Amino acid sequence: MNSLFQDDVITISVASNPRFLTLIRCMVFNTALLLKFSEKISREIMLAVDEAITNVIKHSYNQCYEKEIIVSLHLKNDRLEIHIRDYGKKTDPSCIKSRDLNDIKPGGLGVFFIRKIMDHVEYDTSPEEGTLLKLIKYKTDCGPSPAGGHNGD
Amino acid sequence: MEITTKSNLEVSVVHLKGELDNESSEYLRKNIEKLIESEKVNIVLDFKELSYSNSAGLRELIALYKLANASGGNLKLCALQPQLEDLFSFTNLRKVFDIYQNEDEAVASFTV
Repeated sequence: MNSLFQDDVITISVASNPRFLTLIRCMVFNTALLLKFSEKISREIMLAVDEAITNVIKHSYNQCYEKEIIVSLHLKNDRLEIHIRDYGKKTDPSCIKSRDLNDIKPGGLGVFFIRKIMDHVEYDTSPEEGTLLKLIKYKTDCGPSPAGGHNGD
Repeated sequence: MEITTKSNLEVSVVHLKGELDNESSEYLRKNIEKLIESEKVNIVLDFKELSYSNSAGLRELIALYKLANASGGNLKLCALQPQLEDLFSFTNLRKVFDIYQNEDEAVASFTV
């Protein structure tokens, strides 16, 4: 196996302003490509991260654009791990609902995309302040991915 | 995102260039609402130069589709790029929208 990446981490801290989403999308997409994900999968990971950060801005920070969001990309040989840390209102995972796709109406699509695309989605609310969202996408050439994920739905 | 619009008596074609996200979807809505207010209710959205959309963009498209229909018209799409193709494949939205390969086909569909 190619061992270019042992545990490299790329971290960026941005204000909770949607205008920075373009920057983060660019970083995530290019990092996924660097890890040899296909363009299609890299675009999907980029979308999942975009949706997750949009939810942080909307729900954790109530559209306040001056709070801090830290995005860390952990480059592993078999996966890309993305950590999204906020210091706003804690996320209650039991309240997060995906949309029923048979119901053609706006809303809930973001969570649907995150769960559809990523192999692992974990909301860690143990920090004293805010939430740490962990998203993992496994490389398909490193063995079968865990339950869930793009191919499992 | 850049938006350019050309209209004839029957159909308005709206070209989108860039990314459709939380911020630009509001800009799109204002443009389409203006068209509909001026009774240009048959609309083609040309995605040839639209490289990205997130769920906020899709939400806006659904809302505008409903608005066009409620106004007696229709909102059709053309020239979806790969990322948009993925999004529409993820969802059931292909069943909702009329989607064409290019602008000419989409415009012609209004006169059939």
